[in-house]
Amino acid sequence: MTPQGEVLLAVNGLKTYFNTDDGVVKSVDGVTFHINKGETLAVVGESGSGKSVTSLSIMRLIPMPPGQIVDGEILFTGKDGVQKNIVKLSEAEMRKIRGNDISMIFQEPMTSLNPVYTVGDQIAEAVMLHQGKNKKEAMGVAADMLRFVGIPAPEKRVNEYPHQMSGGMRQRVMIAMALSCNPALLIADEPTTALDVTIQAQILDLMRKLQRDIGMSILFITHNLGVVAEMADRVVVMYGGRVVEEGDVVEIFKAPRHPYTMGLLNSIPRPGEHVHVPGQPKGRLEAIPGNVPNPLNLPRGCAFEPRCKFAVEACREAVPPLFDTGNGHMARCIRWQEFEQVQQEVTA
Amino acid sequence: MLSEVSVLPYIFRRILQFIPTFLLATLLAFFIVQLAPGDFLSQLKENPSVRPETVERLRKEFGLDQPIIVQYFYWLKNFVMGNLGQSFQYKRPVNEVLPGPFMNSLILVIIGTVLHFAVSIPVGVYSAVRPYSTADKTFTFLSYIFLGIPSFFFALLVIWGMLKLQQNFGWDMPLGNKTSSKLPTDISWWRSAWDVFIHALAPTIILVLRGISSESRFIRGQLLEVLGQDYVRTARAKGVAENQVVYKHALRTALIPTIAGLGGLLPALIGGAGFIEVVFNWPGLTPLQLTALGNQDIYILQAVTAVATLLYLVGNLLSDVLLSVIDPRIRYH
Repeated sequence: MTPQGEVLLAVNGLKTYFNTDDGVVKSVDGVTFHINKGETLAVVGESGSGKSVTSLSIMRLIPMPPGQIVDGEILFTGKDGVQKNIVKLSEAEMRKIRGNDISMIFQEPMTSLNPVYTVGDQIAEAVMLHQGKNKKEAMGVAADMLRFVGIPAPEKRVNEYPHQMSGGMRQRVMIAMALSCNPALLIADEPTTALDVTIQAQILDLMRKLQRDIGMSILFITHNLGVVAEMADRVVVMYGGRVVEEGDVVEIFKAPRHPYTMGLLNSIPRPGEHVHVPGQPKGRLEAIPGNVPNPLNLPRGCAFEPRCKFAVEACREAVPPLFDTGNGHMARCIRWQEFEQVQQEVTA
Repeated sequence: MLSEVSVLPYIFRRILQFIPTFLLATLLAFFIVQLAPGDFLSQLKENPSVRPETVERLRKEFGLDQPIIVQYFYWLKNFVMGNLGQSFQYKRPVNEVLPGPFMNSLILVIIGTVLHFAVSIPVGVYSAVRPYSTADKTFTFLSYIFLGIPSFFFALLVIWGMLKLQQNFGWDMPLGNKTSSKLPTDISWWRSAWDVFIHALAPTIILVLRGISSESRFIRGQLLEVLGQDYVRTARAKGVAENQVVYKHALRTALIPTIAGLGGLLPALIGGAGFIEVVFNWPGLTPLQLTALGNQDIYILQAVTAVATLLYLVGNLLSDVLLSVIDPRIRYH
């Protein structure tokens, strides 16, 4: 598969493990993907699939110990145009990247801002750190950023504390803080999960608009496929610490090649246009049976096998490789060709 | 942060609220002290060389023939006028007896408070930043030891150890009292201040060891919790250096409960200086109180209670105002 456009970030064979009292948890076990410049890549998966650990590995914010990046590389081309391997950088070099080249916003806007500093102070802190501005100039930038993310009366709001703002407002502040140094990559870890649906839509609109204005790439982590359809150019589906499917967003929604992706798509209500899963009546809303596997004790073969209705003996034997199914679409399922056939017959 | 406009009326209202608390506390103390049978003159009554008429005259003079509630209001009236009453045993006004021991206790309390925070904050932070490290485990171990040994017994151990040092190595560290008896009188003020300081050192350290032990563990726990908060992760994701993350972003919120407890520290240290003063023969409030208790010298006891109550109220107000400065979520109206 040849990536189109210029690659901004390439994660190759990343393995992030956690040493616990009960054994080694392989949260991220050989994950490979890339993000092009200006692109939005959605990483989709349930809790425990390794999507958040992947993003924290890119920021090198994994608590060590107990966490450890044991293998793999994260190649990133910053604003200076030099490609670096993030895994190998020193802590001081990494600090120059955090908040400057790569920024991050989080799931919980209510707790992600420091309660004892004004929002202006918190935005200005990043500006002062990375752009060498003094306090007064940085507070000016902070007010500009608040206006930029659509907060009314920004000159007044910069001096307010987080507790004086609503959740949606605080997430806007987080976005303003993240974008204050014009990052090349914004990592958004479920940024709308904790918000009301109407506020969700506003925040997503804002992120799309800002991406157009700044031209940054977004790594969008979510379990919400509705959000994926709205935001992403490409999708990576993770399960049990591995990538199970990757491809263009239209491809993934129209022609999923992994049973887990099919299950995810069938668990959201979309009247009239359900993915046809072989052997299942059309249009039914289906839950995936069973639970996410215990990360301490993953199956020897395909991690999804215990919950998969298409599992065969061969699935239990070894972890299937990622198969290239064409058009930059990849799936980690040994029966992907059968799904392709059935789906072609149904469409025909 | 709190603006001056809103805080002054608040403080004024709080001071008004002191009045009922103060009245109730001192009234209770007055009654409890007098619950004990007899009074200061009971001993004189047993003395065959003192005539009963003299005792009766003194009783009238001291106002001890009046009902307790009347005595209390006499005391209160004098207190408001700035007169703490007459000490029976010293035959002098309490206003003259109290300041010396009070200042002596204050020396221990001030050095103790400074030491308390100067040690427990760094130790707590160090332990929280490196949890379960050898240093952290050592601090935990020592904390349990210091919390486990009663302080009067620990004081005796220290005196014993210091005596051994003195005998074997000639290390001359004062073991008690407030000043050296052999010190010449015509020395400079800082030389005598230094003399008091080294005398105060051993009792102060023993006095605050328990506090430091629990406070440093408490700060460690608070900071560990705050370091796991989302906004600390946000600070790190911004590229803030780790020591800034700890001191600027985490410590301030982690110290909020410590500041809230500051109000209780002043009276607690005065009360808690207690037996350490006795063990080290430090002329503070506790020895004064003990002899007053034995002699039923009620106005001394009443004065100490009143001072402790006032300190408690002022300390509480102080920590509330400090809290609003450190935590913008707290507003007073």
